[in-house]
Amino acid sequence: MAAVAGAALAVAWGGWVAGAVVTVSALAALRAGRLRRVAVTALALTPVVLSSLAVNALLPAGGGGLAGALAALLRLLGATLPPTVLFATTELDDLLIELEARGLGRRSALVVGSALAAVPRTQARAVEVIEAQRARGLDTEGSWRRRLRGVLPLVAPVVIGSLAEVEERSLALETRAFGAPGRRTLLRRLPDSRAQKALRWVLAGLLVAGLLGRAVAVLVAPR
Amino acid sequence: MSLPATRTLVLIPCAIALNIVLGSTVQQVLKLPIYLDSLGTIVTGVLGGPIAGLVTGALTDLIWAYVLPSPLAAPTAGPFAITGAVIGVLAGLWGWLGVFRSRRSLDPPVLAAAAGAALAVVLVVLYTFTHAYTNPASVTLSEGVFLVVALVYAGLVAWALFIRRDAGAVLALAAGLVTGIVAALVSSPIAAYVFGGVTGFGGDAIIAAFRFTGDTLYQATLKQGLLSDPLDKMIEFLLAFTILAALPRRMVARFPNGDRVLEPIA
Repeated sequence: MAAVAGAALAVAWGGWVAGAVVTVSALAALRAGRLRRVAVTALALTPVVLSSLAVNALLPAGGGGLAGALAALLRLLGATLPPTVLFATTELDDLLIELEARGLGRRSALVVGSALAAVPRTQARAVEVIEAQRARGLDTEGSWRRRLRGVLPLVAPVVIGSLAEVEERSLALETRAFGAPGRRTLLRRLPDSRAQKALRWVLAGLLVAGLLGRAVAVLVAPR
Repeated sequence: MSLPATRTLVLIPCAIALNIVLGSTVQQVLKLPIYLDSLGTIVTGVLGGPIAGLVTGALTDLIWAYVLPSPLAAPTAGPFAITGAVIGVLAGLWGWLGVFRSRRSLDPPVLAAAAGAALAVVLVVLYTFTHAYTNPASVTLSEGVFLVVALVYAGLVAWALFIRRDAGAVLALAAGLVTGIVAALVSSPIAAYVFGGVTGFGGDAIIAAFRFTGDTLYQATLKQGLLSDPLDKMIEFLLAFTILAALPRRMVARFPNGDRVLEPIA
């Protein structure tokens, strides 16, 4: 909830609101001992930061100049950090269990969890395909024409491999009554205090008020 | 709305992983100016329907940006989840309309119809391009690339019609071109507003060049998008079509929209 509110407000208002969001996120990360991971993500944005500053500094004034670039960057940071903090501080399993307990449904939880687990598997398969095709003479260093011919031989086996995996897994799930109706009993629940509940309502209210206020400001502004 | 089939639910995460892996590892190996990060979305849309495509497209960017651990993560991808969702919905639509069905007949009428559809798309594209590139300085800058897009399109259409003799491929190409344009229209405001035109991908230099000729930020991102997205989506749609046509019937038929992809037997 906090992540969504923070990100949306940062993008909508920009300026000092985004700055506040960034600070709060950083503090939260610090408190949870996850500052390093969040800082790494922020650093990953550095190429963007540098090129943005360079581009906007060199261009004629029409593009909003340096101030415009900094404002955009602040918005970007404000939009990126809250979700990053969320995922850095919450174990994905806990998050999925909590969402499922609140009625999101085990199917949605499965989708997100599987996607994450599937990435390293698919990556390994892709590397295998690349090496196999290279061993059979596929050219990945030549002219662009040759590399274009290499697209299908590299892409097709990876895709077909994924589809075959889908086949196997859905059979496995169906034989384990995945599609059967009825609620499941959950083994683990996250602790939730009244203060947290209250804070969630406040944030939701802030989000709605913030977005409405921004919309009004934009609509009412003199042309 | 009935519950999604188990098969579709399993397809979505695999497709998300496909998007991410193809868009990072394979794309880096090939070093071509295409993204290759929507194939999973396209295949899911065609096989599972527009909503499945939407979920895949949106979740891919969100997971890629916020949830993946550091070496693979791409924090700038998050806001483009909207574009991914749009591509997924469109792919579902095209799939449902039968655009991805292999049509290997040699009847002149079928081929003529396909050529006609291709031509119609080219006219639409020309219209969009001439209205987007009104600044004379930037037109000369982009004419070269636009010519490349048109030539690639024509070349691929010719290959589809004459070498593979599959009219369906032409439809897939046309759909890809249209989807690419829509994707550019959707993602350029995002690139402009959230990123100020600098996303860290290769297109930044082109955007800067356009702004140097006097365009506003929004115009520049739109022009850069129109140069790269149609080409990329065209190629990805053709790839998806080729792969789907090569799959065993049984595998395709088990998906909810699989019957729209299979040619009738006989």
